[in-house]
Amino acid sequence: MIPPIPAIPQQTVQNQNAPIADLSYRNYDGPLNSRAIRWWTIALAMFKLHTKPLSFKVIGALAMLPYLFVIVVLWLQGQLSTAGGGRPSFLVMTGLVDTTPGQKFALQFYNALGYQLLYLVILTLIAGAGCIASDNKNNALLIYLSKPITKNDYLLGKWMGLFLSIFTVAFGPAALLYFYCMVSFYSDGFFKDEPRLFLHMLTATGVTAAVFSSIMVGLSAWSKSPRITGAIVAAIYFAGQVVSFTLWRITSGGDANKDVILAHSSIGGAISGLSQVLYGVTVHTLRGRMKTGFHEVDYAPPSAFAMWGILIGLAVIGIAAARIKIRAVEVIS
Amino acid sequence: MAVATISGLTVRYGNKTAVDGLTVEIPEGCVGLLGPNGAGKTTLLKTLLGFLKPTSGSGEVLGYNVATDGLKLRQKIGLMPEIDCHIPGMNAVTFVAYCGEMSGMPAAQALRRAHETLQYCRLGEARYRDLETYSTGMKQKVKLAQALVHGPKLLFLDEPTNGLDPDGRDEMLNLVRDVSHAKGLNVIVSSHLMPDIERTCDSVVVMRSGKMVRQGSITELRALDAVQWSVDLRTPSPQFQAAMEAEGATLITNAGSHYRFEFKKSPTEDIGSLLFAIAIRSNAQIRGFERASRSLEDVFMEAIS
Repeated sequence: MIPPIPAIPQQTVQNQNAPIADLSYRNYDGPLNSRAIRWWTIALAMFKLHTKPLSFKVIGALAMLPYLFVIVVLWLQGQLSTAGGGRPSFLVMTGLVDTTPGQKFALQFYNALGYQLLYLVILTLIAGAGCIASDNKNNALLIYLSKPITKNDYLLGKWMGLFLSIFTVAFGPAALLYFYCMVSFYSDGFFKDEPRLFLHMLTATGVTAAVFSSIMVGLSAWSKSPRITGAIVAAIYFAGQVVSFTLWRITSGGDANKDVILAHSSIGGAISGLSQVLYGVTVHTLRGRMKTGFHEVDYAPPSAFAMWGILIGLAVIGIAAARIKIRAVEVIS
Repeated sequence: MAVATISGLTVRYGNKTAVDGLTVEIPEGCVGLLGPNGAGKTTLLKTLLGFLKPTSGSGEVLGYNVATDGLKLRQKIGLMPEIDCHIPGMNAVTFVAYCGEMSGMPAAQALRRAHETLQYCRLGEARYRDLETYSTGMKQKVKLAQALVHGPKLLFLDEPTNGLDPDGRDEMLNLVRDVSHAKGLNVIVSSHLMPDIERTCDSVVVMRSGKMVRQGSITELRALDAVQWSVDLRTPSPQFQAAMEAEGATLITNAGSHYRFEFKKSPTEDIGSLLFAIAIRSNAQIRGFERASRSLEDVFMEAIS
């Protein structure tokens, strides 16, 4: 005789239908992180958000090209000097290389950052245009500031998130170039001739990222449209360069060492000027025409005081503008 | 014990006084903050969160001063704002976990709590979707989840059923009721929808022009000084009305065949017998009768009129 099949206990049936996780709501009485580091939470989240789009990754990859180009130039410089037994005169004349001790590698870092600036501006526009403007548009400030954080935490987190995104792209390839030089030119006096190069590289890329972040955060805070913010920043950056260069041409008559500060009185100009100061390079290049002949021109670094002044001023204005505007609620007086 | 004690609180926007010398004690439990548009409800909530500095007066929420202890307050409070708000580029889990981290929770704890609160708010698998693709009802639930994630002691819900369809409204009100009555959180619900307040709250504070005009438990406020009875007749009957008035009742309202009468004193005889006797005398046919109570809407209208 077949024994009867035992009935499945009711409890088992209930468990089969129940979700795997315990979904009941409970109060949270667990540990809390220190309030002093909550801005870092915002910075990390923003860094992840900024670097997520494909456009950021593509432009970030393109931003490595100037440093790869410089690696090729350095390799060529090594090959030509070995083959010719002296100065690689063609490359020197074009301003691409300088074999003067103390300038040999610094010039390459300065050039690479100069070529890379355009990519960094585009990245700033992609990552930063909406950093606060999107929050304004989506009323996210009310969410942020209803949490136990201050508006300074919010601003610092937003700024740092953008800064880290730009700095990673600016510093990463520069560090790669530094590593290449260290490995390839150790015996050529890389450390002996230019011992502070790493510090200069860190400062130049850091200042560039900081200035771009500050300006972007400042303008973004006053807008509800990321696109309009991006357009305004792009206009200020490019139009500023055209205007300052045109004014310099008019006032200096093309004299390379006259009204240098005016030539650098735009965002891009000041960044370029400061990096020239930091790397301590004098750029030698050829000017002229085929008919009249060429002559060598030296572009000495501009005043460090003026460049620092312009850039710190821009950064402070940007951050102050953002700080004024950031509020949890719109107060109409 | 009161969760909030407000004394002579005044908040001004320039020349406009939004909250005018408000003095009120908000008790534990679920409290409805009622008032017409512009009564100062949202301004009061913003002040209690430390967003706005009071022009004069003082306030304490959970023992913290609203003017000086904004950060400590916001650690203990969860806010579900009235307006649509989210952080773009995130899905619901990331968003709610991020809110938890901003409240100081370690990342792993915040993520676990984000899943729990989103499940609790009935978002289920939709929690992995980008917030920008959410319907209004789902956005309301996410707003509730982000307010709950850090385990607040007090929840501010500003118009929680805004823009919801009947099903969504029902679900949201059930959640609010469950949070306050089953999970033991103190909740302040700001709304101008009486049925929502009636369904979720134990007591109310009614505001008008920045001042408190009525406060108490809903049961107390709805109680009537005199005895009122609602009577449904088959057809309207002026004779019945006249006969009732002859018995000492006062007509309070009359809509078609529905009458509400008030007796200054309870009738000495059984009310059923009295009503049927009057109906026979006046050739009226009674369909039903019950002891009347005021609705919250009546209380509200009386308070703000």
